Amino acid sequence: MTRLSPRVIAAAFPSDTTLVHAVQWLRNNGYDQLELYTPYPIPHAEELLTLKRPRIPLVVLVAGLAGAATGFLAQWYPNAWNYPINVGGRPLLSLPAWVPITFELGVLFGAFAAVFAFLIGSGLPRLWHPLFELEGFGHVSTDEYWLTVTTPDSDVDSARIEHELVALGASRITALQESA
Amino acid sequence: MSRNLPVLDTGAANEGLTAEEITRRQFLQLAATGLAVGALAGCVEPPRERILPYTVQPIGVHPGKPRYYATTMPLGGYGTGLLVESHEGRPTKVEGNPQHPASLGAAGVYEQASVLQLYDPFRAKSLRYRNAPSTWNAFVREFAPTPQRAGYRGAGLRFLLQPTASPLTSALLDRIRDRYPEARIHSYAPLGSTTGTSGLLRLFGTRVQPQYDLRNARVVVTLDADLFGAMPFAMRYARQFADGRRLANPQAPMNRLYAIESALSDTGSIADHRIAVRSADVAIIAATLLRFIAAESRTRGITAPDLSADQQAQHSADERWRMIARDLVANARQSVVIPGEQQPAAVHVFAHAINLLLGNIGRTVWYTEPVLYTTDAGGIDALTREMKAGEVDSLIILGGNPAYDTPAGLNFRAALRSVRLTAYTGLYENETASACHWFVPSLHYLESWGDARAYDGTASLTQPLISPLYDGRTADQILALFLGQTDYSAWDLLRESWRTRFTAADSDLIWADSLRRGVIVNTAAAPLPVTPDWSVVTQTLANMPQASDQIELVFRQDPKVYDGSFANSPWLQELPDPVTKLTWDNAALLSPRTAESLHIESGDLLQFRLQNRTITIPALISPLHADNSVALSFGYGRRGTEAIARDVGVDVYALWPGADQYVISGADVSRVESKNAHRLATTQDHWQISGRPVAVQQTLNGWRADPDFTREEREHAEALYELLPTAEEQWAMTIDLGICTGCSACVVACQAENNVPVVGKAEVLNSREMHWLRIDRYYNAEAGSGTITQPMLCQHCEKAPCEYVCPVNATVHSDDGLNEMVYNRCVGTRFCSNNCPYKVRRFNWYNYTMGWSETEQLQFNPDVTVRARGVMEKCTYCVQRIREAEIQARLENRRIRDGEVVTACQQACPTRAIVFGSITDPESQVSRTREQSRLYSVLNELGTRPRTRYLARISNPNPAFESS
Amino acid sequence: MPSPELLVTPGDEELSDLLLAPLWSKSRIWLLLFALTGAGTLLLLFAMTWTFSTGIGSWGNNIPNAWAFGIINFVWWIGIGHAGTFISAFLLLLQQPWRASINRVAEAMTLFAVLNAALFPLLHLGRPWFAYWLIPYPATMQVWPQFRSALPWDFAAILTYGTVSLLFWYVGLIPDLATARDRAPTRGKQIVYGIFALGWRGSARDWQRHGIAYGLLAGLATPLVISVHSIVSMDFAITQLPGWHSTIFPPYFVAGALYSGFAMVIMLTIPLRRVFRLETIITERHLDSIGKLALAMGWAVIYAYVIEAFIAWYSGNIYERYALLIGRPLGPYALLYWIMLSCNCAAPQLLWLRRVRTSPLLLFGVAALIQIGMWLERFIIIVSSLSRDFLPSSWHSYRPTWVDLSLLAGTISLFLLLFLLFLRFVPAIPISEVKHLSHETSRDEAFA
Repeated sequence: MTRLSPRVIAAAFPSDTTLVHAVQWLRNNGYDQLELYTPYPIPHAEELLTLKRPRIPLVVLVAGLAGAATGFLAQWYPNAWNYPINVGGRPLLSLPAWVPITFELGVLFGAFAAVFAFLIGSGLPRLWHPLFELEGFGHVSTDEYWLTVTTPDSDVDSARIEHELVALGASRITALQESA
Repeated sequence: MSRNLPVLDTGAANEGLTAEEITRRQFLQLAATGLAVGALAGCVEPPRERILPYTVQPIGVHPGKPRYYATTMPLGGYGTGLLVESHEGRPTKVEGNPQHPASLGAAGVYEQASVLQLYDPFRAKSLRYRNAPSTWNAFVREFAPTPQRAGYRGAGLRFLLQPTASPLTSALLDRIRDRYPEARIHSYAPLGSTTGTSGLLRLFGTRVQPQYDLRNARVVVTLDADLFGAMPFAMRYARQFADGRRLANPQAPMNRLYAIESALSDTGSIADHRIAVRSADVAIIAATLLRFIAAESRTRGITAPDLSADQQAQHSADERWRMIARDLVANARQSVVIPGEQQPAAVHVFAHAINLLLGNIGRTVWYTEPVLYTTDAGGIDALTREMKAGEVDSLIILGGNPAYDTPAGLNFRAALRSVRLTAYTGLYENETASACHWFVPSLHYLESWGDARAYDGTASLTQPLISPLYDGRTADQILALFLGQTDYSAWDLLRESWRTRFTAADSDLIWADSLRRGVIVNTAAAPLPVTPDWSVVTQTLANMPQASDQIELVFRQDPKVYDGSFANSPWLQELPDPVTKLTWDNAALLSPRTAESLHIESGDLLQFRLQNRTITIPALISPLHADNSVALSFGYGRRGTEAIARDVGVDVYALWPGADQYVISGADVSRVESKNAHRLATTQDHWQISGRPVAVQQTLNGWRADPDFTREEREHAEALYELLPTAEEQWAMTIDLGICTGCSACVVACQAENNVPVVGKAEVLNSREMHWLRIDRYYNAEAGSGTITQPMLCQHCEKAPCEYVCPVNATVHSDDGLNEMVYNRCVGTRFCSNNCPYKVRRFNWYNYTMGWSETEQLQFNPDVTVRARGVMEKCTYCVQRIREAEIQARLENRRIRDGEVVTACQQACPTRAIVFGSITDPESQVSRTREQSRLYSVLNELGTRPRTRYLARISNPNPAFESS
Repeated sequence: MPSPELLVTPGDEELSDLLLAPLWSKSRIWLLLFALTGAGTLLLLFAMTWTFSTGIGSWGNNIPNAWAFGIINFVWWIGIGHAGTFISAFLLLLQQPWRASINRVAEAMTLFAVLNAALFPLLHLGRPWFAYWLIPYPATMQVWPQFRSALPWDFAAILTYGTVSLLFWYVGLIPDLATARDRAPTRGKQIVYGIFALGWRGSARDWQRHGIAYGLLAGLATPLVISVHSIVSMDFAITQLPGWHSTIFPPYFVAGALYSGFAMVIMLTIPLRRVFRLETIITERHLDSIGKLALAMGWAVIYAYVIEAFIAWYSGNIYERYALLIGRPLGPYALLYWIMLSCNCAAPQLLWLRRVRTSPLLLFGVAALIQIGMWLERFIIIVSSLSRDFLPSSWHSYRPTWVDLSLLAGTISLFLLLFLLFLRFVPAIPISEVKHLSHETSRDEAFA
């Protein structure tokens, strides 16, 4: 998640295409500490920022299996082990009858895992964030495309970046100082 | 039935009576006051005798352990011996007394239901004079002076009783006739037909009563007689008949029954040939049979009078009569022809003439003097005439309900007004009570001392199981008043009258013994020699009525409420009629063809007009009913204070022309136009078995041809998984469809034993009746009577479909093979019912048991849970009885004996069609039935492996019939 | 060529405002409908109270018809629920772009349908206050549920299905809630939506995780959809009752479920696009596609009917034959049976015509018929089978009471009530997805 340090420049762009060009320029000039904020998932963001895929699927798989195991045991223990009793002359170990619940609980656990993995990964819920204080950041969820770039603490760099971003069509530029 | 039948005063016998008597009284009072105080909250006057606190346990009372007492229930004048189960002094369940000739261990519908009548909250609770509550002392003051009145010879004094055979009552009546020569004693009951005795009086010139024995009857012919349903000795006859067809193998000898009747009856249901004819035509048929038999016997060189006068064309044309005659003659000396009690005298003459010709007398038929107390005072019509003429000064009515159940034409109720003083004693403040000056609540037989005689004359004692719940008296006590015995208790009277009868020496022992057994040994009436007057027969043959086919009305006993005296029993009102499955109603039964000709369907209202009287009653189409015949049953449309009986059904007494006239032609019938048909609450709507292997039957010859004809329905399919039974006993039941008459005694027995609730007409209409055991009836053109009955209850499947669908383990299997229902675990998903192919599970849609009154709750069986709203319930094989036997066996460190566990339904069954026991004992009765080749499981193909299995019905039709 | 998923490609801002409009604006129609459905919901509450207090006897059920309206409605509602997840999850996996504008409506529909469905198993119990006995918990008496019964399966399936649908719906909703937060006219609304938006900022990394999680949920939800109605069908299939005892039930029920589900989507979206002027977002293309899906499912159902009947005959089993070949077409419920066939088999054939699929009015009509037909199907399966099973002696027909009817009407009202609330307070069209789509299409056009 984004810590504003030591010095961050946030730029808003009117369209995803202009944003993409700005990102490409920044990457080419070696500024890699980038983050994008967009109203919808813009295509190819992973490649642009070379993000690696988080391992949510693995988490879901494990949770799913755990759920299935729980489901199975929750049926086997009562009916076959703890209180075995003749029900309709059926076997105590009625495996086929236990399939549905085993499956359902697997899915249930998996689903919860997926959601929690996503929320924790993105540090949500977090109702307040410094970015929200930036003027116009509210437009990110509607029609503006933002990027933040973190620069080494040198006026030269930042001036150059700001100038270049404007050239690339940034409609608004805010530089933030480390909030003490 | 190995049960101890205690008399509390045993041993006390030789210390003399008082001590003995007090012990017994005390116990009864204790028991009674216990519940009286608890439940009745002062409805009861405190007992006169000293009460002891319950600190010292009364002799023989073990809390939680039921006791059985022998007693006798009078019905229609005759007694039936019973064993009554008592829990801490409250009778809860009636069972048959194996030692009593009328019961032979069985107990019928009325007997079973009588215990609830004891607790009926609508019973009269106190004496009344005109409109004011009164007391026994006031009543005594009114009548005690009578015997003292000098020179009073009983002018204008009349007694009206129900028919009775009670030795005590008879003795009292004799003494009354001595004391009051001018007094008259009339007896009346709507069903107490006198045609039989008058017929025999004509034939033999003496008053006799026929006795039948079906044990060695190979061929039985009934002439409109419901031998197994509505005759005084029905349960005995049913048993004897059934003994003639408990077929272990196809070669076993088998008797044959021809039932000639109009309305389908229990007897007709089980007959090998049921022939539907108008009741009015039975006389002609009897005549025809008589002629054929006379002719037949003469051809066989048997001496018989020549009766071959001009025969009734219509019926003699019918070959069947000739065949029956041949069959009878072929089985001479081991056959019997039995006329219906409600049939006219002529039929009795013919029937007994036939028995004479066949040489059946002394073998299957004999005659005794009439058991019922008879006077020459004349019947109810004579009495009514006198009343109207103002010749009656005071009328004492002991029991019955004449203001309701007398023929409307007599207008008895009006006649009562022209009597100066009328007194009535009965269980209820009914139609008669409200029309009399004095009303005295009478005692239920379960709370009174008395005696009775069975149809064969065997005497037995009625001992109370509980002291009177209300301020009542027995009829005997009231009679005693007129003999100056004012302060005599019923016990005093009874003991006194029997002390004289028993030989003085061992009097007390015999008394105690008689109480214990419920029978007084060797008291059956002796056979009388009779000599027929054949001229009577020829005369009667000569003036026979012409056969006609106009619509007749048949007035008959109701299979549920008798003559109306049981109309207030919720059990009986909700008991499905054995034939029509109708509840909470009576209806005009008629055949499909007759209905067609009248353009009506079931539920349509019919109006019957006879002279100036009319009734409007819903029609109910009954297959196999005789054409042009309409059956109307007594006992409904009550107007008394009995809230349950009130306004249920239609009062057909209002149309009834007169005593002894049960079959009437010439009434006009019309359909009443009404926008909505009357809704008849029947528990079964579909009667066709449509080829399904449910109630299987076969003819004897068919069985002989293919001894293993039920194999398809018996052999198990392979199961993937065998769960081996673990317990020592494995319970199972076998029901023999061959001898089930559908009488429904088992249904009521089950209801009484298992606290099965009553739900009312509306709920029955929505198919929510709660009976754990129902009797299905199917009509099928094939073999036998054309109908078959099948008791259907939980089949206790080894692979129960209901169990594996229960989400909460509320129905599971016990080690000893019971399909158990765990009420307090049930959440009421009803999945089990959906998956029960037999649909024997019942659900508490509402809190049905909430409706029971405090008194009725006293009948509840403490060994059986009372179910609450929202839970499923069903037959348990009377698990409470199984467990009781188990505990006993464990205490005595032995196995449970075969026959030690008797289910309620099995116990009640008059024909012993139900067999129950453990199949781990190869010698047990049930194991042996399961070896029979006619054994099968219902819906065997489903692989449910029912523990309840059936023996296919075998019928024994006359081969001659098939050939023609 | 098929009509595009979007007719116009408006600017992001207009688009947002268009789609958020219902959240900020008051509407008289909405209030009216709200009042109506609110009244219906009160009826539901009354009928429920009545059932709980007097007992299940207040329903028309009896022996043999131990199950009737309650379970019919349960199966019907659960079925309707299916289309939602199917459209959003299954079509997501198949990358059907047209799903974008309607998937949230469909998901909301799912949630509310499942909610309604879940009411009935509880209501129909004889002793509802012990419903928790279906859950395994260590009780002192060691009384456990019995897992050979299909009812605990049901319980698990519905629980899972409801939960997963809710998660799926909410995860998809987060970015739009953020938009709502940022566009909120008042501070109050901003706070409320802000809380539900969980502080979403739409960073590339967030979008990435969001995408993965959403995809995984879709992957989980898809087999779930299939499983749930299969399990529901086992409530019947595991018994041995003729008319229930059939191996074709799981696929048959799933098809039926989607069938009624699509019908319901159609019935909801058509008025929706009309009222909120969304013709440009929910286009004929959408109607057309759902119409096709409905038709396909229709045929699946027809196939099931045919096979069911054929097997009944082919089995040679007299009970099966009676139930399916005589009881249904000629029995006491024959009329309903034939209505059902005309609704489920005949009516949808109109969908072969593009004109019908693309004409909102006709499509709505057909969908309505299907909806009725599918309810009747459940009635026929449950009641006609129960009312005439093995022993003719226990045959008895069924008639609903006012309570049964109130419960049905009540749940329909509750469903619509919830849907109205959803339209009023939640972005009904997924804004970010639509934007995404519009930009793609515009880009496609640019490159074209």
